[in-house]
Amino acid sequence: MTTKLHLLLRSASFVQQNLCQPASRKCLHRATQMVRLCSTQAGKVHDTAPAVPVAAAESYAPALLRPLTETVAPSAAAVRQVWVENMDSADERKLGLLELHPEVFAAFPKLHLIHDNVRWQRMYRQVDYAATKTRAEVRGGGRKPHPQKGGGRARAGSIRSPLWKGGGVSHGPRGPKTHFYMLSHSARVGGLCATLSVKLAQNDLHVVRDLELPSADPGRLQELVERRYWGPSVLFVDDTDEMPENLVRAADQVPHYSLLPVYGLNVFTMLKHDTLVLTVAAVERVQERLLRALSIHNSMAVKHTDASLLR
Amino acid sequence: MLAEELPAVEPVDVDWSHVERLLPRRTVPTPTDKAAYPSGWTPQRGNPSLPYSVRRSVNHMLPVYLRIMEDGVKRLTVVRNVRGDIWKLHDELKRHLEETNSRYIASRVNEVSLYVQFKGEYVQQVKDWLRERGL
Repeated sequence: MTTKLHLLLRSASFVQQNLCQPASRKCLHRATQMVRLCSTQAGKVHDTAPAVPVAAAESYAPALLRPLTETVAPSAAAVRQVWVENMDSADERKLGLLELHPEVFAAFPKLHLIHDNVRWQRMYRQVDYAATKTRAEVRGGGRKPHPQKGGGRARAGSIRSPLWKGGGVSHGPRGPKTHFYMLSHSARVGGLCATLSVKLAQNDLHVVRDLELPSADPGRLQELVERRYWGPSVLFVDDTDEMPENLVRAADQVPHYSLLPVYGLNVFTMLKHDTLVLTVAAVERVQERLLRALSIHNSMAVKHTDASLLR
Repeated sequence: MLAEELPAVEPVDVDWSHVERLLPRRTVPTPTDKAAYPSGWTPQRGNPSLPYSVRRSVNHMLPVYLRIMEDGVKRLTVVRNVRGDIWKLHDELKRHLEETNSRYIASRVNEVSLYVQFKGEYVQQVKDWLRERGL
């Protein structure tokens, strides 16, 4: 097994403890998947013809294929399919087909949800440091500057009144202000589903078997990306935060290639990068979590943390 | 305290089912299969022959709601989360409601938010119509 490097992330440690899977468990899970010929999918429309004819295509069947609220599985016409590609060489090879649930990957592109998520991600961490002093806080201004009557001047009680130059501000910004708020659970889940659906519909979502590269050369990785016409910026998503060493070293040299584990997937990052490249394990994990999240009522969704969904 | 001084422990088999049944569930469970339900609820059977369907709510209920506005004067029946051919569903449902109620019913289709709206109070009729089709 090639060495893996642990990505440094700013997420809470309990989240990554729950999601890190040992390598042995991952291999066993892959070995037990069933093999199906892709000749049954002859009627489907595919984006590109396979570069190399596939003899016996492996079909990667996700564990949970429907949300808990649906008693009926999605129809065959609704299910989306993607090619599973390789990462071990610049030449593109189709390794198999993967079925995607339409609730997650063919959801209606609700632009208002995407906008709400992007706005929320920007605003919840925003702190406005603008602050002004009122007439009580400005230094001085305790004494009446001149008698009430008899000077020909306007009456004044303090030299720091808001009318005076150098005086306090009456209705100005008052101290640091946070714009923290939590978007509702259904809006966040809907935004993720909408963004994934948009990426798939616009041919910007690719699935690879794994992210094992033959070498840590960033040039080779760039050549691979350019050969396949993947966008300038690429987001590689794996199901754990321990990624193959070659990929970590290569992507570190290229600022517009980012690596992300599934638990860090968010609407802003997905829109920021032109192309999304997910591993089969990452797709399964994303589907499982989002299908489960679609079955949770807003009132039962745990606020500010998704630790409960990890179980 | 040394290891030898620690008290002895032994595992005890406890039946926690009486506690577990009281703990709140994270998701609404899938309803048990029955021929008929006393409340009149029907599970979603699916209808592949139809070009449209509706997504049931988290509580397995049909997404048909009554909106009361303008202090009770304006009543709207809304069918939410319509997938597939939303205009087909609107046309067929509108024809059915107009025939049943023998009157013109104003309606609206929102393709972006995926809902269909009828002016009036027809929630039960719409739900029955959807149930007949297994949606």
